Amino acid sequence: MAKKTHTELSRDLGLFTITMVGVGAMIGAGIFVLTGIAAGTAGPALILAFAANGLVTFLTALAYAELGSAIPEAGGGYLWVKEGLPGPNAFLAGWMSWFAHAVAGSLYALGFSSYLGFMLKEMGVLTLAGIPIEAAIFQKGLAVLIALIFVAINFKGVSETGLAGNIVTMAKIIIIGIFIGSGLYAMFNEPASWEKFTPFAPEGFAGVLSAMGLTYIAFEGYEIIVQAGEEVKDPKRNIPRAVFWSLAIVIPIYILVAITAIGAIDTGTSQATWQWLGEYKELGLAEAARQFMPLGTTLLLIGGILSTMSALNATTFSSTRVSFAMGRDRNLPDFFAEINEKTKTPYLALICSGGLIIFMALAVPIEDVAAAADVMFLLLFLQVNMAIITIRRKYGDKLDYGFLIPFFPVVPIVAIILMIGIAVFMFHFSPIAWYFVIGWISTGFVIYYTYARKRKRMKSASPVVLQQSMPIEKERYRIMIPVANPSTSKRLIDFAAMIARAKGGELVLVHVITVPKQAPLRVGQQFIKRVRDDVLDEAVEIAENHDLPVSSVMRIARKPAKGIIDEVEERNIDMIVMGWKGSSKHSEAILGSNVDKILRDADCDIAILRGDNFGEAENILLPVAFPQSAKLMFDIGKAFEEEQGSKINICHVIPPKINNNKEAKEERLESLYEVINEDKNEESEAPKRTINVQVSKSVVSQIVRLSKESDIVVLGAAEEGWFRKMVAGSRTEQIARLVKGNLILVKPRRGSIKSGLQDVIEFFRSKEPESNE
Amino acid sequence: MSIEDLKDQGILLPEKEWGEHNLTTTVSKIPIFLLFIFSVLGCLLTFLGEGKFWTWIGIILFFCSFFGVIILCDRAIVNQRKRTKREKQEIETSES
Repeated sequence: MAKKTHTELSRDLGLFTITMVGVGAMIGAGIFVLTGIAAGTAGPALILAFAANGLVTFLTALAYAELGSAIPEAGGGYLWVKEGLPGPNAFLAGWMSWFAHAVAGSLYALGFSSYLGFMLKEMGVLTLAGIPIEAAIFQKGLAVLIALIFVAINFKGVSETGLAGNIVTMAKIIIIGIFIGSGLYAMFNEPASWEKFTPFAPEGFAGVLSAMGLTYIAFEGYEIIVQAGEEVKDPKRNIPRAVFWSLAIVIPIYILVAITAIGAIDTGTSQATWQWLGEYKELGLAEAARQFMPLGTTLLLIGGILSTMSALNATTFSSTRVSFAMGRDRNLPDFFAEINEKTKTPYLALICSGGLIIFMALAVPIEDVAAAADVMFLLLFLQVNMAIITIRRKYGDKLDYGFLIPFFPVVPIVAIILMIGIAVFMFHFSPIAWYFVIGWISTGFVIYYTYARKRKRMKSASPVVLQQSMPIEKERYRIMIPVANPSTSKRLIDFAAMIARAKGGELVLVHVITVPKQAPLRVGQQFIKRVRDDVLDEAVEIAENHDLPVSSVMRIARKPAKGIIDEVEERNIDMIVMGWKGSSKHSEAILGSNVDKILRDADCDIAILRGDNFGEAENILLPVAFPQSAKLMFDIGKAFEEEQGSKINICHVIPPKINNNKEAKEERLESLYEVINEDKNEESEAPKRTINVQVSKSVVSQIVRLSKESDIVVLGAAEEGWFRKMVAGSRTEQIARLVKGNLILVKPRRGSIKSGLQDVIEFFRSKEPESNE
Repeated sequence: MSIEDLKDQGILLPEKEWGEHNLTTTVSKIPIFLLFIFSVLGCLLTFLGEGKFWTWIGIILFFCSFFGVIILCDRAIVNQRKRTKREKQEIETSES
């Protein structure tokens, strides 16, 4: 076997460095731009908003610490959602992440233009190219210009990492440190400062919640620690520690910034300091610094400009990379993954991301831009908290954890509830932000269901490599028989032919050539001739003896189940007839991994045959329990009756408790009678079928007892409550294991809504990890 | 991504160790629960203090208890690595 090469980045970031990366990402544009706006929303209770946000974000940080230590790969949240959640979640995680980073970019572009405009004003420049710098057109125009500059920088392939990035981080931490130090000094020298915190929450708790939602983006920087996971020394230890320590550093800093911004300034009027900060919005912090900090405004403006520039660079880079990855994964059109030959950058993804940043900066006021980014990040983290529950369930015993969440899964569930609460409450603060979020997510759903899902399926489809068909009538009942072994195919084909005759149907013979993951699918083509000669031709000959329309197909797939399910979907198969040896190699599988997957995912009637003799059956036992499967069981029994003259015994076993409850018993039997006498009407001469009702404490053992007097038992898939199944396993499984003779397990087709719902439920219930097909 | 991909990237434990490691947390549950509750109480006091004395007591309580929570998590990470190392040794010993 060829040895695989695994490309890895060099691990040279220690605990201190990686903690500083997280701190640098958090103490940045968010705190510079949003403190003023949030103070105007919450009042002095901004302090509380920061503390409470710290607790909420700590709950998600626990998830990041656990998953970041167990799966320390670049990709972080997006990767885990892809791993842990079903259906469109992976697509949506990428789609939302793209929007969230792009909108954050718009926020920083607008923040930059405000800070630069303010600096020009401080320098005495009141107009530029004839446009007053305080005019909205100037601010928006400058935001567009800086966004374009960073699109150009990213096009050249210059990243924000490296020495310049570290200098910027250190500079802004120093500036914030001076701000806090001089603010506290001023407060302790002016006792009246401490009175500015009353009233504490002038806008009530609603104001606190709004401020929490608005500033949430300033707490999401620990995501960067996980993103850099592949470069961290001893990641199982250092990643979770860096996540926690970065929060331990940042949260007190935010609270101290809030305390000094509110307590250290003097408005000179009766206006409260929080209202004063709110009026200055994104420039609130810079204005506050003017009063108590040496070179305050200048330093704060430099800090704000540097922070917004580095944050804009980072978000332009990350939103481009997310859309590029989605294009590469075929979730978005291929052009998103196109790389410029000269600069080696994904230029079209960059242009689209730049367009999104510019659009949001132009279309929406700054506080609504911030709110939209916040809601999107809240929804993204919510998905991560959901994913951690399924990842622990599916991979828990296979992963090497550096940290495990206490009180699992209560903590992620509480985090989910809190984040939903804050996100929903943001509607109160900014309905516009929610309209954009809803519009974006809805568009995402439409793209997923009309485009991305189909492309993904096409990518993973098992190709048809041989097809020999008779003309197929659309309305015929189509029965598929997967054939692999000529010695066992005959009984399957004979049985399928019997059903096809009864239903006026046709047969489709399928063989799936399996190719291991290590080899490309085309390797399977070398087996086509051999399989056709040894397996398929013989099966076709047997089938043609039944004088029924027959077609045959050969597919190549990683696993037989994949080829069979693809065939069911592509040819609208009505029924699968397949064999089962009666045992499973895998302890986690019920009937076998392939049979289980087909039972779970194939949306058609399924009959699974165990045993050798289905040709001369005198007595057929049909232990009916649920109307859905009773219909299919009865159709099969009737086919035996018509073809072989078999006697069918339709029985229903009920526990004594239900037998004593006349109403419940009648209700049960009535629905079953309705199904088995469906074709009998008032004028029908044939006698109506009767159900042999058996009363027993143990349904399983009674059916097993009755099976001893029958040649074949037809058993329906159970539709039992999830709790019972979880505690005791399905009755069908138990009976199937205990019945010794010939057995036919049947499962009827699910409705499409039920099918989709069941897929989702199965995903969350299943402990089995997903497998590559 | 699938289990095969995770295996290829060397993220999963060796197969012989699957199901052999303890999945209970090494975080001291009662202390962290109490400290977290104190952090929440700190927030509550901050709110109810109306910007006066109890607000500052609430902030101090929040700082102290939140820092305590972080210390407990940090200790749990160190203990988790020790436990994993010990479990790996036990698996190897039982194999040999």
